[in-house]
Amino acid sequence: MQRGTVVQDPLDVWVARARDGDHDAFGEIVRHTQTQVYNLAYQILRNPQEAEDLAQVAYVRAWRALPNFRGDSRFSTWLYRIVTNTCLNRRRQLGRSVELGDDHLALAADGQLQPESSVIERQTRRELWSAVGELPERYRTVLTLFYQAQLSYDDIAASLTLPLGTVKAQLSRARRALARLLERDEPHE
Amino acid sequence: MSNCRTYHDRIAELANATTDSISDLALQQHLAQCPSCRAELARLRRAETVLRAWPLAPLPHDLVAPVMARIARYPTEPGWQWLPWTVWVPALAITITIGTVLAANLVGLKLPESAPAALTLPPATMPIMASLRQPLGAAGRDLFWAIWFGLFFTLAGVGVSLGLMSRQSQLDDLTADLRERWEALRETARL
Ligand SMILES: [Zn+2]
Repeated sequence: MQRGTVVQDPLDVWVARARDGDHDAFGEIVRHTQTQVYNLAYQILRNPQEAEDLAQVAYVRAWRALPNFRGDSRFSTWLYRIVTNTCLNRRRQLGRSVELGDDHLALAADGQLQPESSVIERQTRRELWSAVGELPERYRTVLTLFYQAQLSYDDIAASLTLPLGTVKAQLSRARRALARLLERDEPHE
Repeated sequence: MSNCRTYHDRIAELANATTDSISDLALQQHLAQCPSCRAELARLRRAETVLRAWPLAPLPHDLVAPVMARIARYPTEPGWQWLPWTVWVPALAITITIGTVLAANLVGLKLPESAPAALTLPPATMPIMASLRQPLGAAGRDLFWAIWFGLFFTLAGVGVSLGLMSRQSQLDDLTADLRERWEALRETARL
């Protein structure tokens, strides 16, 4: 991404108003980004209560930092950077003790599926949740940003303040590690 | 197969590609004769398919109201918080080191026993200044050094901490990179 170029983001209208102190506009931003933000927070913290709390903390930080947002990256990239830093700091304070099993979220994700979803589909998603849960935090973070938040490599690098090459290498290792875990979990009849 | 590693990146790329056709002839030939790389490709393709269908977990509660409530109470967070240990431990270590070196050099020095002659003061302050010009007693000297070191350690500690804080992301990169290399080593050892 070129520095200084204005990248169009569907949130731009609300961002401009929120920057001028419009609370309702910021509320709209929260409404439209909260599911992604919560999922990102969850993948870093692996604890639903902590993820919810830290997502809120991250939004408050974003609100306070909004006057400094210059628009030289997408707003969502900027927001995810705040979320990632907030959650990583929290995780450093708490260590792994905060992690819960992923059954809770896997079940919740099941609830999102259409009733006609096949048993295989449910099984596969459960395997994915549990395999992702076994990955190190940095792998989970890049996978979430790439596949769930659908950020580009450049945007992930900007969100995590990592070099592009490191992001690509991490994603590649994360996929490889996940592929092995999925193979292990595959039901063998 | 000894040259499998040279195909790893291209196999990963192929697994992420939307097309099944292989334009790379060398890779195509290698895959045709190497069952382990074929298995790797199949594994990665399956992971890719599953990941592309990875659903977002639904939010347990809507965040709009609580976030807006927090913002309305703004500022609610404490203006200060403990520095992360990656900052204060090195800061403390560096401060103690510098402090010890300085102390070792300084204890040999004497305090000036009188102000320079050129310094003239209004007459009213003379009695106070005269008492200040007296050589310090043992207790006075101890107090002087205690205050001096207290000030030094506080300022140096804050300075070093702030310096390290501004380098926090690089520190994190470094530790993440080291961890990464370690994991990669362990991964290779396991295979
Ligand atoms: Zn091979």
